[in-house]
Amino acid sequence: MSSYNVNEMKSNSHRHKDITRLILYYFKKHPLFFGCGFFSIIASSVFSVIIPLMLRDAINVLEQSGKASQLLNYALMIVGLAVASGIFKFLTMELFVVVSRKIEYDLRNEFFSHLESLDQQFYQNNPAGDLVSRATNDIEAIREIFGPGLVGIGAALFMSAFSLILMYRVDPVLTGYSLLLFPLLSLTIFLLGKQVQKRSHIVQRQLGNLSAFVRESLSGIRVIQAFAKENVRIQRFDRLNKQFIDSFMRMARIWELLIPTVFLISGIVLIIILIEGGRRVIDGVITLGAFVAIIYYLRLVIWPLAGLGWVIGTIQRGIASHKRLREILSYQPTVVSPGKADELSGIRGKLEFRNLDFGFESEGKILKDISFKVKPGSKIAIVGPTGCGKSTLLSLIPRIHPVSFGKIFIDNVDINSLDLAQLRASIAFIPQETFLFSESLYENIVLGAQSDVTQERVREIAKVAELFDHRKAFPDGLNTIIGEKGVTLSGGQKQRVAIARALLKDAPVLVIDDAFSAIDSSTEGKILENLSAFWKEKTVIISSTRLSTIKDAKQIIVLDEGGIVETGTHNALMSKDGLYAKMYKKQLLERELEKS
Amino acid sequence: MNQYYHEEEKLDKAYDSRLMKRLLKYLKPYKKYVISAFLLLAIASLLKLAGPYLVKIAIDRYIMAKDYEGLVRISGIFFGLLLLQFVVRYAQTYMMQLTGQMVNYDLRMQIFSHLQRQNLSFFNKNPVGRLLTRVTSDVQVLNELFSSGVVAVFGDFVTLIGIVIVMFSVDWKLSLVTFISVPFLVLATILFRKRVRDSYRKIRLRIARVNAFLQEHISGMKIIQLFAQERKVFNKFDSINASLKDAHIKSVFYYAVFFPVVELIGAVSLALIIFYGGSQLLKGAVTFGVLVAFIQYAEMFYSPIRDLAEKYNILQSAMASSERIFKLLDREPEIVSPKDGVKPEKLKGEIEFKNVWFAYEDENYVLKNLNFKVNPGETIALVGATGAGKTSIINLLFRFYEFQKGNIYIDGIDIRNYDIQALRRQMGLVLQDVFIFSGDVTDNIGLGEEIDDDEVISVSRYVNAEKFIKKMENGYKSRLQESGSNLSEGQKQLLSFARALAFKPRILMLDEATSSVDTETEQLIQEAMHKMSEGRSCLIIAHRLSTIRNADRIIVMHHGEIREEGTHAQLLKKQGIYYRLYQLQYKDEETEVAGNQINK
Ligand SMILES: Nc1ncnc2c1ncn2[C@@H]1O[C@H](COP(=O)(O)OP(=O)(O)OP(=O)(O)O)[C@@H](O)[C@H]1O
Ligand SMILES: Nc1ncnc2c1ncn2[C@@H]1O[C@H](COP(=O)(O)OP(=O)(O)OP(=O)(O)O)[C@@H](O)[C@H]1O
Ligand SMILES: [Mg+2]
Ligand SMILES: [Mg+2]
Repeated sequence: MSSYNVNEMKSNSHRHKDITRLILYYFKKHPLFFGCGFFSIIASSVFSVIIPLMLRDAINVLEQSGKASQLLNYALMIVGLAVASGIFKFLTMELFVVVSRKIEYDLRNEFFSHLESLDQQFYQNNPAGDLVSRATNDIEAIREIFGPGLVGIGAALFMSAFSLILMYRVDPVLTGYSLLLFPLLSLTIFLLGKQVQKRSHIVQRQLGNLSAFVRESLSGIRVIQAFAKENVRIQRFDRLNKQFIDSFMRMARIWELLIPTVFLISGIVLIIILIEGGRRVIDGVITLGAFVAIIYYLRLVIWPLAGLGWVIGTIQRGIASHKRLREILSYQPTVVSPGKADELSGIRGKLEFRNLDFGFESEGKILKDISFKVKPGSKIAIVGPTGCGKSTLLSLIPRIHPVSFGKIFIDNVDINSLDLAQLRASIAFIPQETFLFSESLYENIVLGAQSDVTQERVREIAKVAELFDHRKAFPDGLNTIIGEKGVTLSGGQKQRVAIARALLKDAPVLVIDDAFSAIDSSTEGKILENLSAFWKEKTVIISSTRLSTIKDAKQIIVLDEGGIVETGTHNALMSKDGLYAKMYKKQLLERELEKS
Repeated sequence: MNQYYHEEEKLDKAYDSRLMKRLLKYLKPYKKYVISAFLLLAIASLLKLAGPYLVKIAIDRYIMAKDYEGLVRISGIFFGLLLLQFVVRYAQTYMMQLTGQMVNYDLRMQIFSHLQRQNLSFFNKNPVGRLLTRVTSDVQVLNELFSSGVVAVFGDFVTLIGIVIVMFSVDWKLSLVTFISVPFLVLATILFRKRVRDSYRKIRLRIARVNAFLQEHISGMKIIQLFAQERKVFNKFDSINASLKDAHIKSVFYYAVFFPVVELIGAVSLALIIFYGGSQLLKGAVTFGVLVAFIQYAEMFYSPIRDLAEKYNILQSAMASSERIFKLLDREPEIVSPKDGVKPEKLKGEIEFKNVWFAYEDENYVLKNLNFKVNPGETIALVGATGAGKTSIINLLFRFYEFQKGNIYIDGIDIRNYDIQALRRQMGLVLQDVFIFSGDVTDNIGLGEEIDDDEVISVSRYVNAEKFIKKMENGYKSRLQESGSNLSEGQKQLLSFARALAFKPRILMLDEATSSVDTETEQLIQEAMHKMSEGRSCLIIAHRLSTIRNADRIIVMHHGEIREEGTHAQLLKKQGIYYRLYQLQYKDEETEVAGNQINK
């Protein structure tokens, strides 16, 4: 997990600056693979190139009406050379595929570990479906550069170079004509390749959009079906689908030109050789054998070069995909551990907010001038109307969002100068929105553990969270596998798993963001009671819309529109008759009505 | 985690004529394209053969005869053919790509529409990540089949046959010698096929695993970070990723052996031509030109076979992908509208449960012998412990799941007789788990359907969402991020609420619709609802009792059964479950309120 290191990160962005740098980086990383790999390409090219030499000699023998036994020699030699070249071809493929898969694996790990370091702001702007598409489709496209791409280029270069050398020895003049191939091919590749790259970038983007849309349509299927909006979704998909194939065809139009063009160019050169070579044979400058060999060599040059058309396309697509990968890798995480982190031995859980302002990227200020202190081991509550900033405030404590204006201290240390892992390890957080993984209940809870825990302990915690309120709820107990995002659980069950997860963390600070909203008050009461023994020593910050939950808090902070409007105990706030009292009375209304 | 991948473990015949037939059906609408592409391909393949033949003529007829003019002439013909080949090739591949993309488009539409119709129980078992692969990568694999695989194999086939015919007609004895090695080729191919199949299966499986893992963990990144589990999760990912790499690396061996072996067999043929053909030439039985042509044809014969391994790969992937796609397409949802289902114009809103039993799985009943009735225009509250089965009741009313026993009637008609979509259009739902789509606010309320701006504004006002919507940068046109991550929880609930009201439902179901909304806002909503809900039935689920204060009746559920039923006052008098819940939420407030009143 290198990406937590700031220095390492810089070199990451350096190596991803362009594709050449990336290739060089991996050359340096796997010198043996690439060294042996290119050697194998050279060796197999050499052997393949000698075969036509044998051919030429054999034909020369025939021309001079030699003996059949000589022919046998050549025949055997051809087979021998083919064996040698085959062995090296085998090695080439093994080496390059292995190393390219290693690189693919590396890149994917790097990508994922980078994702792990990015904050929520990033995830807001980049749909998960699109990120997955980059981690799979795009990285695969990059791999193709290192596998088939490099082999193709290597083979083309060496084969054509060797063939040209041998050709030169047979007939320099004809060789000169075949050199024509190179400027023509380079021009084609340059012109078409650029277009392919540009267009395939668009294709990949469209694919990302398409994936993101499908993903959303599937995760939101309940809503879509409940509102009978399947057809609306289908129509929209239709549009995206069309856009995708349009962009694909725009790319294909150029991409498909590559191979025929290479064939055309090489055909033209062949014709020139045929005419000129034929004339030289007629004029008696060269032998027929030499002429045949030249034509054969030309094929050897053309063959890999024709493949080059495909290779170039592959590489251009890889470059486009690498650009997409880089878009993500170049996001600098905004929340990182400081270079020299303060180490705290044993956090006690004293908290202080000092003149804190906060706003999201494009939005205005969400939190304004927040200051308050929490003594270690005390319980405080945050309340306020919908959207007043409670969750935002709480999420700043573990630095889910970056804190830049004002400060938050934990045990008198600025959280920004604390080691991020240590900070987060010292806070158990129950978010307002529950997220569960499609694993067993057990694994979902154990996610909270900071070190190894016993099965016993997990069971205990599950009890504290009242997870097994009645025996039949989960036939398989903790081993029950829950569906994606916990779809097979009831709302309250999900929240209780999340509660258990946080409790297992056993951190000095416990943050509860409205985590009882889907739990009935009877169960909630039991959980809170279980907790009271559990959290005696801990600092607890709780936010809730159900005011009965937080009434007993030592200190209640009332937020409105991002600012603190009142603080105090329940009784103090009630007698103040401000916002809190008003909210509280609203919840009582029914009772008062009942009385009247 | 493993249970989700079982489906992937099965498969994979490399070629299955049943699947292929079904696949080919998708080409039907594009018959014209396909036929012309095939014709073009046949022409291109034949044109390719012409090259060596022309060289042969050039040597035998002109160079040997020292006829320079003739050489130039035949080169001219060669050039013409070359141009033709260029055009034909391009037209053919372009046409095939186009067809492939059209088929892709159709398939994607079909799969997507099919997925949209599936029941929720289906989605419980199939992670989104996996379904997504069906729509994207599996379809793409088929594209390769159409755009290069099948067609190219056909082209290769034509070329091979053409070569064989030409060679035999030129010199059958030499041809026989050349083809002596063919049985070895067949053997090599068979061996190769077997090996590759196994490793291919493994690769597919592991790719799916990487995909699913990424899908899930990217969505849950916040949790991972909060719990500082980056390292652990990374290690998990690393091992999944590594196992994919290993599978790839293992499979390459077979390819790496196969290609050189085919080349070697080709070289043997070449050697035979030299040796045997050469001896014949010495005897004067064949000409130079023939020998040179044979050398070239032999090469042409083996190169498509080398490609065949590649094609085989494509074919195999395509078979596996199409099998998965067809399996998905063959899966019909269990709950479908009956033929001539009732399409209500305007429901009265009467709901009746009669001895309803329901289990999500097997005999594990979540609702047990449920009986209750909601009269038109009535507001009923459902309360009870978590997991009591409240949401499940709504699931049944929306026909998300099929119940096992008993009957549910809406307006006196059995719920199973309704056209499902028509029924759902009459009902409004706020789900316990809110879901926000990426798109603007209006879009989220209207769910993409054309809807009056005024309507959007008025429902937003009803649910008190207008205040925060107006505060956003672009008001109703503000962009909401995926799963509404730039909104607060309560705001998301308000939006879902507005969405439910936007289509003027006759029955409104609120499943913890305001659990994260502050009480003041909640009360404003209730007042607004009261005004507009003339004659509309309402089913409200809530834990916070202040939410249900306007209910006409309260149903208390416990472990899937109805324990108490009545008005607030009746239930309090009963001193049962409801009473206890009430006490908990309002404990010791008696004194305080009293105190407050004294203070005033
Ligand atoms: N899709 C499902 N598959 C299997 N079991 C399920 C599924 N959904 C819910 N259950 C189970 O059915 C029971 C009832 O769940 P339901 O969602 O109806 O409860 P609820 O009363 O709405 O609870 P809550 O107040 O917590 O939302 C629970 O034990 C739950 O685990
Ligand atoms: N990621 C974000 N990007 C932009 N704006 C945001 C983001 N998250 C929240 N907001 C906005 O910030 C404000 C405060 O949101 P927050 O989630 O803190 O409210 P809250 O007090 O927790 O509300 P609730 O009681 O509904 O949970 C809201 O207006 C919301 O729209
Ligand atoms: Mg919140
Ligand atoms: Mg529920």
